[in-house]
Amino acid sequence: MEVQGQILKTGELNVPEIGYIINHWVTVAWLSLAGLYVYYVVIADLVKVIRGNKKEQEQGESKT
Amino acid sequence: MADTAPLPSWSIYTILIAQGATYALLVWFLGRTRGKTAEAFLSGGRDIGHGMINASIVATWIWAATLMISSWTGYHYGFIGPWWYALGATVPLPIMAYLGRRVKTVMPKATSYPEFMLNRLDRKNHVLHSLISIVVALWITVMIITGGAVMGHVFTGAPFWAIALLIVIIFVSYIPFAGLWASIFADTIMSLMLYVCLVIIAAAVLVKIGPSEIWAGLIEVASTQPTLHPGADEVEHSSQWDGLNWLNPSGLGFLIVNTVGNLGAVMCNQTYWSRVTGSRDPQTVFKSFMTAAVCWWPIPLATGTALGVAALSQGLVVGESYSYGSATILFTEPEAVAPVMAFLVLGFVGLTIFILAVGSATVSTGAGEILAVTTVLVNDIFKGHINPRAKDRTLLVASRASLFIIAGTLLAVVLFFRHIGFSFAGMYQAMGIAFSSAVIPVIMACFVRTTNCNGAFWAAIIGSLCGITYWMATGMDLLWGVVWGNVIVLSVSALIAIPWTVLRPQPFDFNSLREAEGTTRK
Repeated sequence: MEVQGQILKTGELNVPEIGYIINHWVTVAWLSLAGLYVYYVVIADLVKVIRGNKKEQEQGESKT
Repeated sequence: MADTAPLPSWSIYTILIAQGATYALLVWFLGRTRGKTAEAFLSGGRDIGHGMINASIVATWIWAATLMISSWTGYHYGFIGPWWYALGATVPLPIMAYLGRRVKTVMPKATSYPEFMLNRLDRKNHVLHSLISIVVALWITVMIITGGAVMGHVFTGAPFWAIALLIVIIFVSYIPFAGLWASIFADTIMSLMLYVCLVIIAAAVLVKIGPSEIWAGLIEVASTQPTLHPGADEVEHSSQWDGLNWLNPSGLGFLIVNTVGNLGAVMCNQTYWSRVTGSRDPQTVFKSFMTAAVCWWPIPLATGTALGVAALSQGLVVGESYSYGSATILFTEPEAVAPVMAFLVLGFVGLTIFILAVGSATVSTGAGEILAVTTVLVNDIFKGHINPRAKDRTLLVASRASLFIIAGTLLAVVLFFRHIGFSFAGMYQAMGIAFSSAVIPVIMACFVRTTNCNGAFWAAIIGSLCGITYWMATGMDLLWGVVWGNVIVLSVSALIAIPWTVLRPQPFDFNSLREAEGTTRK
């Protein structure tokens, strides 16, 4: 059968259990690290935005 | 539909209204002073830092399809599917990092990429790229609204029109306050929410099923060869029975389609160029697009692995109903594997989290696309061709009015397509074939000093025509027809633009762009 033939042929390229476990953990770890990085840089930026707004407000008040 | 929907209809209304209200409130609180002039409205103030730009690129490039189709690739091609999906869709971002840094360096005051094309090339290229960017952004938004509303309808039973209406209202609920800054800021919040949702789902699959059991499940599928998608062809079955093969052959074509087809969707799309415009400096542009690529990659990769590959290992069959406690869900089609698996792992909580993630992805991308259309309409068409002497206040009013007009028109188009039963199958691929021909001219305009204006113009048009003609000749085949269609588009475009430039070079001084701005120069 053609389909079975393909499986037998490509089956040699199958990853072993340890390979799949590493693959799965890499995906979750990468996602988590990417999330942490995005949180870190976003919070740093938002702090700057809030400080900038405060400064602007204070300058506006001192002008009036 | 309401009887078979696993979630109540009020859940989708709550999710969408809560999101819209949160963004509108936060934007009003933090950024209401930022959209006072048309320049600030359309450029975001040109002072936004790396954190927000990076998060905004990530959120904008995540569509509902990123989560749904990446999971489908895991279900279809096995563990390597999400890797190929993620790799193919990530490629445009690093390329965009180089293009964006270049444009930000040579023409720091550019507001849109057609404006750059006008000042770098000529007026006909300006008109062409304005039209391309408008069509790309509108088409993407129609697909996004339709996709989001269909999913909400299937899983909550709420009427399609009501969800589409709510999505469109959210698009225009916060952008009028601060324009591009509002769009980028809301993207930032959405990306934070997306990571939380997806980490919860990925961790839940890791804990509740585990990689060892998934591996054993894939071995089981390979050895028993069950029919998981009744009615599908042998290629699909053999692909599913080969889930541990790291060189799954039918997935390779998908990799090429995803890589080439996405180039036009990013590089000819003002939404991504707006992130360049809003950035503080060229270094911020480069760093943000590069880190966005690294941060975006694991999103489809982890989602596709957690939901798609896990579903394949569990032997989920299309057309069957599955239960979690007393609740059941119908696995209607392979593309819906992600929400079904999220439901099977975490029940209603999982499904709600997934819908929240898809809702965020829909809103962030759609709002950015609508603003991109507004930018080109006001900055390039209105100011460039209709009223070059328009005052800032006129442009600001036109920008805000455009947002509402575009949103209303899009809603009408979406409801009309739904009414006539228009199928979107293959339309994204068609867009890739139609517009990827403009990629080579854009790259050449950025980096090649002697780019010929006529060569760039005709390369985009003839490349597109050749690709579309070939694809139609293949009967709009969605695998290798699309692959070769994309290859032809890029090749023909390069074969026209490069020799034309070599034979008839038009030297250009990039330094002349330093102070250039506006769309009335040529």
